[in-house]
Amino acid sequence: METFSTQRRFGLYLFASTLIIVLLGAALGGAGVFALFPANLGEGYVDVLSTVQGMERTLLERVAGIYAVMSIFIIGAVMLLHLFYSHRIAGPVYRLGRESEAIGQGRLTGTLRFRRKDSLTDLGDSLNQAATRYRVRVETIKERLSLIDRQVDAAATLMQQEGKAPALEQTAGEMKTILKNVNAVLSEVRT
Amino acid sequence: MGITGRKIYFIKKDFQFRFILRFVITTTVWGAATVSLFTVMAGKRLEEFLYSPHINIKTTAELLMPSAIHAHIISLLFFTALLIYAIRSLWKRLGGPLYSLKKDITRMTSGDLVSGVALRGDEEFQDLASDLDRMRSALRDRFARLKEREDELSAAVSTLDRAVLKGSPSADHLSAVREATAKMKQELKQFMY
Repeated sequence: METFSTQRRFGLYLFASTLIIVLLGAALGGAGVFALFPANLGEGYVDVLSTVQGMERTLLERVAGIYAVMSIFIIGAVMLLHLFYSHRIAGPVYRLGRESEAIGQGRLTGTLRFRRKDSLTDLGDSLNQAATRYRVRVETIKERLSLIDRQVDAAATLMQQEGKAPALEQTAGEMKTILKNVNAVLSEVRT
Repeated sequence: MGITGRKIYFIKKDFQFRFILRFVITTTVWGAATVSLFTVMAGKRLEEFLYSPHINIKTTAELLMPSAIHAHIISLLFFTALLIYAIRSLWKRLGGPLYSLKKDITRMTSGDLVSGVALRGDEEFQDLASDLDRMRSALRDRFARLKEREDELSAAVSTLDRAVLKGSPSADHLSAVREATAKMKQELKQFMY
């Protein structure tokens, strides 16, 4: 099964905290059921029978009623708890989306950071790596273009001097070599 | 690793709604199971009590506590199993597309901006896949333009080289190279870091 990076024990905490809420709900629900019935069955055979028959008649509606009320609180607590847990995934997904938008606009900072408890840090790292890799390509091309500029300046100086044809040929050759490097960098990118 | 400006907790509504709904359904099923089990078990207990020849129980707790405990133990075991299944299936549902997106990012990092980023229609994180595909498409356009500029520069340098070999280089040849370099630099200015 493919996995994704989460805070350690994210699943375990999710499981344990949900179970605790339901356990508390079960305990309160159980206590509520007993609170709805008389604590003592009564004195004497007739009293006891009458109480138990009454309990039997109202059992379903009272149990269902108390658990319906409890369920509202339990489900409310579960919703709140899972809103926080889901946010630990949804938050990073949102930020990944915004970062990819920024990279698309040319911002190759590669400085996406998540909160300590967030998930999907591996995807964040991958996106940072992508930005960094493209930034290195852009920087390399910029450096090579600066070298070409220098060679053009050198060629301009040589052209003003007599008998510098071999040096001029060498300068033009160097420009071609630098350009090959630029081409190599651009060839890495398939468009 | 602190970041600011992310305080909205319901940020990816569809995803979070489905995430929460899974556990709300699990809890609701547990609630219904508990009520059914408790009613059946307590009902049986009351029935047995009513037809019992000896009545030696004085309190409701004595009468119903065993049924309550049994019903809750069974329903909580059922809930535990259901919860484990819900979490495992959630992980499986999230793991697949995230793994696929991670592979797509790695592919783009290596320089492949041709293959699109897409998930199957029923998978989670369609929005993120679209964002990543837009990123790929935008980068592809920028690098395609850079390649065009590089072709222009390459042509200018070749022309200069040929002129140098013929012994007839001119200022125009150098200007053409300078102009092509400037255009390429202008294209590179679109990138910020």
